[in-house]
Amino acid sequence: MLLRSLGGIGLGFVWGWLLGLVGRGTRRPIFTRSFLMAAVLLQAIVVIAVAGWAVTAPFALSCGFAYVMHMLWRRQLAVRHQARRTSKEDL
Amino acid sequence: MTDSSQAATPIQLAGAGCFGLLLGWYLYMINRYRKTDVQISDLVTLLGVIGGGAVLGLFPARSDLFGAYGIGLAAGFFLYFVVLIILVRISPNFDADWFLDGRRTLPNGQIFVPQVGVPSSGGIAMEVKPDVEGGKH
Repeated sequence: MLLRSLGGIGLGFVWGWLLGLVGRGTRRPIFTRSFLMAAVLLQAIVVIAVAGWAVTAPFALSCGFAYVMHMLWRRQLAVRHQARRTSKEDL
Repeated sequence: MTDSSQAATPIQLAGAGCFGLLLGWYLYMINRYRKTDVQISDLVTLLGVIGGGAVLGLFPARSDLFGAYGIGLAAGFFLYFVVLIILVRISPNFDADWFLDGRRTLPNGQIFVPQVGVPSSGGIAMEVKPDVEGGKH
């Protein structure tokens, strides 16, 4: 059971990180959000089929965590890029 | 809750883990060399690869093999990412901006930004300020 939960967490991390790539610069955020939800749901169905219901929660949590971490990381990169650019222009 | 997981031998677990590791590594590599933004069809394909018919077919339902596969997948995927961060950090031709738009310094010193467009030859030249460290122009 522990191994299956860890597998679900691993799959969730990868899937969440990949979902962070979707919808950057899109002009239809509602469409993107709906798609993200559908993508997580589809992957969750696969997880349930392979590993059982008990793994769904670890999968969903790790998926959300990885998605948020990816978003924060990209935002941090963008902020640092902007700060560097501004400091170069000020010189 | 009863544990209905099927027992797997260590060699089976190692095999499933290595399979996931390989798949995760390739997954990041393919994603890295993607030409355009991620489309819906891309994710559907990925879903089929990492969690689709192959996984359902290879690993019996509720077996520990899925666990080993998932752990291997994440390990391969994020190992590639960590190696990439280390390589970008030690290379003089790349910096953190590469993760944003793929920009890099060409051998002739010009900065090439792939997402701006495919240049006719040798990249898009950006004006290099001659004395950036020397104060205002």
